[in-house]
Amino acid sequence: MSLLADLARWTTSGIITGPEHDTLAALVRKNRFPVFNELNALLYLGVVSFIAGAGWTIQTHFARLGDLAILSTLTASFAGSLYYCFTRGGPYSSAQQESPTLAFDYVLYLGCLMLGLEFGFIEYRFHLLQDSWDHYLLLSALVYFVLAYRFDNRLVLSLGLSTLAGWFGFRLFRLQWFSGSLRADGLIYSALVAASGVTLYRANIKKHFLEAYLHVAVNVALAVAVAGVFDSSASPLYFVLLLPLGGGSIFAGVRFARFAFVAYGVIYGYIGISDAILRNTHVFTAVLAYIAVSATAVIVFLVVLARRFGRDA
Amino acid sequence: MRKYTDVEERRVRSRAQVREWARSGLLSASQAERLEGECAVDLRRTNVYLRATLAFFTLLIVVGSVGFTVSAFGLHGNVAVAVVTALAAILCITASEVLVGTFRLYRFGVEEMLAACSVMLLSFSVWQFREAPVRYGPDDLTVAFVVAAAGGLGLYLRFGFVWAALGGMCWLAAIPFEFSQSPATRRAVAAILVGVVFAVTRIKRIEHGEEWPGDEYGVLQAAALCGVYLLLNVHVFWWDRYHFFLRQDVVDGWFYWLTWVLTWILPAVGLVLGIREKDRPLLIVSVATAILTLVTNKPYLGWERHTWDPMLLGVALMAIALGLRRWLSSGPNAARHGFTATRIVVGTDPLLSVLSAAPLPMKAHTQAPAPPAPSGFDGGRSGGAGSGGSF
Repeated sequence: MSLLADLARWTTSGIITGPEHDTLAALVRKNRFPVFNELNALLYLGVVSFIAGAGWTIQTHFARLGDLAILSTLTASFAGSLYYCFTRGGPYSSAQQESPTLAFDYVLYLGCLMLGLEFGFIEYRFHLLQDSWDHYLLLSALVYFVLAYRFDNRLVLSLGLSTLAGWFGFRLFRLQWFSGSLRADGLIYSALVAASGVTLYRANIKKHFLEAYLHVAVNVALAVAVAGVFDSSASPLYFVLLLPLGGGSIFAGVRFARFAFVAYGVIYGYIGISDAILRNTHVFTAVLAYIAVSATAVIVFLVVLARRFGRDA
Repeated sequence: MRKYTDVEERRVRSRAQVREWARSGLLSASQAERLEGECAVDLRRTNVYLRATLAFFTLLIVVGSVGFTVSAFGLHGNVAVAVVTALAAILCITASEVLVGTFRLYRFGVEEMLAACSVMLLSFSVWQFREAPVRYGPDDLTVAFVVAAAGGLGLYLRFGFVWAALGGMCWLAAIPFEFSQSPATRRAVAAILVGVVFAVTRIKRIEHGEEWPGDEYGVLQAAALCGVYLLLNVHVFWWDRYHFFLRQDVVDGWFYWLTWVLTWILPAVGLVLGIREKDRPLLIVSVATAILTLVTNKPYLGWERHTWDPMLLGVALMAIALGLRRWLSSGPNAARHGFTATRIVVGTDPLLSVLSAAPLPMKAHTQAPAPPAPSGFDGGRSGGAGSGGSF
């Protein structure tokens, strides 16, 4: 039986009204075909492509273009985006706000990326802060956070979180995160992010931002703990830390029906515990047996979890 | 042949649609509850995160068990490994059948990974037999690829796993690259094979329309178009320095220029069909391939790339998006020919909540009515990913 027939049946039985039937039937028949998400994706790709080209052009042609031209263009772009947002956007609200226009979020995002580009160029050309260049990251992160909250922009919030992570020296892409100090930075960063998110949530300020904070904080904390477990020269406290972190993530994920956190807890926890167990095992057959048995145990746990808390389709 | 009945498949989709409408505020919570009851089926499902995690650990079980058997019994040689992997493949597919048939699992992760492992193990077994002293058939991995392609199709027909059909299509496209013909011939044969898939799935899509199984054929049709494009565009993997995806094939002469023409024609055809039929997967693939055509056009023509090219592309994309938005919004009822730039339904994106923490265009703003508040613990719903709950 087709969905249209279902709709007709539901109307006849009085579950939905005539106007509701017409609205839903129009969607099923594609008389109304929304392309909202596709237009958003195009805008995002456009912004990213533009910024990539701008960075490449500045890097390649800065001598020919001149510092003044580059700086004034970048500053004007940032100021222009702020002007647009302040003149088009509504007043601040602690609640979730709708974007006034399709382009609004992306104009602000573009402006913020331009600011990051400008800071990078200033340091590259003038070496103002030299060894303390990472303070540009802190400054830009602060600007991003303020703008993200002012204009309710999760893109810019995420940019702020990642920039703040950069300031904390958490440079995943350079693979330097196995050294002790960076792990400590990571834990501090994670705690700070989680605490900020929860505090702002409790203060009823942009409550819908909380999940973005927690995804970042939990992943960073668990990754740091696992990295500490992997490093045999590191303190055993990392293993001790991993257990409550993983367990807490699973518990909270189940408690609040956010199952991504259950997955984080299970996977990071499994990797860390397995490393600790297998560290002194050099018999390959035993390792394989462990994998088969332990994975079965995890499956049983997850199936029980899914059966206990999941709902049948 | 399918393990799930037509009624079950349709009800699963109807239920998902009801939930989407409820999230979008088009139905009230009480209405949604009643309608979900109407669409109830006797299948066990779980949310996408547990599904993925279950699949991952099922893979570990299979790898650990097969590896343990080979290692513990000291099996050496291709024939012994081939026999073990073939037996493991049979066990996996049997277990998958039992889990679906007896325990009524539906997209639960475990049965999916077992089925996938059965095809991978069988393909590996065939390859090991090829390497064994008995030797048979044509060169290299051809037969293993044929088995993998057929296995993917088989899993789709049996269980309705669209991802298996997509995987099978990839293996199908890989077969000609094992031949010793010229690069142009290999690409052409691979494109023709995937083109046949496009034709077949398109016929099926037209036959069944938008609803099941038409929705599955729609995805496969779009993927096949994308596959043909990727096989024909000789510059699309310019960034792949290690030739992980395609060999370093030098294509020149008339075939080279034919592929250049086709990189323009394929997205255009896809766009026309996608717009005419309001086919979302086809529309998305066509736009993506059109962007790839713009990106690879200069290398095709041998023109110099400029640093500002990405800026121009970015401006063009933004202008198109904003122009389309303006044009659609200025139509009667903010729509033209049924297309509207207004957000009407809030879809289920399993990665959305995770990616919302990354600077990606995920849920930048919600322009739809807020979803109804959940009553208690309701996170285990398939597809819902627990996104209806609140902290």
